[in-house]
Amino acid sequence: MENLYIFFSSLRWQDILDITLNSYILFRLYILFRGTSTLRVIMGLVMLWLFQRTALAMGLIVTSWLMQGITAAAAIIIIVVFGNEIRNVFQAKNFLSIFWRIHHPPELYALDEITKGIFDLAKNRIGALLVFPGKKDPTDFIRGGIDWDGVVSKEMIKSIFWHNNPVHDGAAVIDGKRISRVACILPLSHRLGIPSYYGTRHRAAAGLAEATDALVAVVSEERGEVTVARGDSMRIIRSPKQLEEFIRAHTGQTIKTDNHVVKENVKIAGAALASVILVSMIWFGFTRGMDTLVSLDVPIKFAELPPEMEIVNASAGSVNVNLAGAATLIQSLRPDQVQVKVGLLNAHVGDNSFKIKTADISSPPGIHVNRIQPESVTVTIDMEATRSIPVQADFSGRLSEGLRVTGVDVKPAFIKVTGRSLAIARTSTIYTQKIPVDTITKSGQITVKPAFENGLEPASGTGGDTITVEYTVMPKNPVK
Amino acid sequence: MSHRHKIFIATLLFFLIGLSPIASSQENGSPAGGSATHPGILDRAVMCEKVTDGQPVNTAVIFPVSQKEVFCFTEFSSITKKDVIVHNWIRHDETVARIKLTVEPPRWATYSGIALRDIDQGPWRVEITDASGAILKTLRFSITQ
Repeated sequence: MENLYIFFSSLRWQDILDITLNSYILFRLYILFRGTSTLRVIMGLVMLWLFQRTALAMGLIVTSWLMQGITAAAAIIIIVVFGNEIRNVFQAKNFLSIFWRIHHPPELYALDEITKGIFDLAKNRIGALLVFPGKKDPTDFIRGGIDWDGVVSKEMIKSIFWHNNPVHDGAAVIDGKRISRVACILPLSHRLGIPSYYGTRHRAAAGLAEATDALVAVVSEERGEVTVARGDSMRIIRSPKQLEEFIRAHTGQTIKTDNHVVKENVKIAGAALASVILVSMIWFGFTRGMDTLVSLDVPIKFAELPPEMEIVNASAGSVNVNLAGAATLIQSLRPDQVQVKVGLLNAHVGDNSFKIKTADISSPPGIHVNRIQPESVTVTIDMEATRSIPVQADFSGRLSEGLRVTGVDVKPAFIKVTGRSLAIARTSTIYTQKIPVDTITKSGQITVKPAFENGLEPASGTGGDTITVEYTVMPKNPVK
Repeated sequence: MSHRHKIFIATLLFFLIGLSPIASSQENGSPAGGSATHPGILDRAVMCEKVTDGQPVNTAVIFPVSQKEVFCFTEFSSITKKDVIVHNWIRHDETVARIKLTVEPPRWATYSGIALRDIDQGPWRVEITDASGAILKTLRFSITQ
């Protein structure tokens, strides 16, 4: 029980969001593709993938390799073969419904008014063309037309297609209980199998039915008969009742019992639960497995160094990071995904010791830091400084016997130098270049250059590149 | 004291020199100088080849290594109490010897020295400090062939 508590308390809010998001995506895929063969094929593909993983885990090299190839190819085949179904989903009339709508309530048609109106037109031999859109929006295939937006009634239908009505020559689009557009031009079918006695109106009905999933009803002016076109088929309708059944089947406007609704809701809830369970299993499999370890040498990135400072030395340029995680995550881990960053915002001039914490190491989600070696790094920070430093003549060689140099006067006595503050701090004297004493026989002076060390140089505009050394020579006193 | 440099302290002798003139100076009532940590007034500080009869011989700023040894001679006046001074022998910025010397009222002269070897050639300095480390004077010199 305690382990269970520890396990759940280790979950981050990002993890919960991750599972929820992916569960919802899976659930939405089910909702969008249910009832189509696409969903079954996707399930088959998932099975193939699981089979491939199992084969890989069991060490079946050729089988897993073959399954991997088939799975990859199948994904492409699905997109090609089921292109129309996928397109229909994304061409939904209300695009946002892809993300949230669970039930697709059918548009409620005034079936009685429509069928009576159509058969009245047929009886009076008045030609008519009526479009009942399916799930796919047919707007792209319909040209022209006039917005109508009138409530459907048999009188309205009859009046639209009345000979003297200016909008009678074209198709009327019926969306549920309203006639949305009239006088629409539909694409003509170029199919060869259409009977020769069918005129332009029938070809237009066939053309739209072929291009979309709409149902198109035609009333023949010559024969007074009603025909419906859907997909590639055209069928003569003998009675209003038959027409009503056709429209019901097309729109899904069936009479549902309470029992049926409950059954469907249970099915959807089951799908939602299955989505959460499946995604949770995949998620925990991916992220919570700690069976694999990897050791990486990661370069340390020093950041937030104040601009006036610079890093002179670091005790370590990289750290060895021991990472743990699920085998899948560890295998896909790239070295550049792991970074060690040490902040130098509070660093001071001199040696600074920083303990490298887990928080300083960034790694992909699901991968955890086990050990860091070394645990701390010492960074030497320095900055530019200027200081006046005394100058000293540096003599070498052999002075003539019997002589002694009793005094040396150096000009300038101090040189202003610039360089790293640490170097300046440990430099107490600027020496001249070597001055040979072999030729010195009497007092005199010589001009030499300073020999700067530790990267120091004379501060700009202060001179200091030549030094005059005056020396006083006297004879040695005899020593007792 | 560094082990690398076998420094020979010529002597830590502190002795009264020229007793009569220094004593007379004391007797003349010269004011004692310096603060509580100040050992007195540094009247003289020189580098020399030898100290003979309490006086530096052949003061100079360049000494051949063949001379074998070199000395730093310091002379204080206006000393109010027994105190300590330090001779820091530094070769090219590296301290090779710290020699503590005692000074006593009213006047005192003292010296320290090091033995020279071939590797000691180069620029040197002796920093003369009081007990607290405050530099009273720096003497700069060279050891040559």
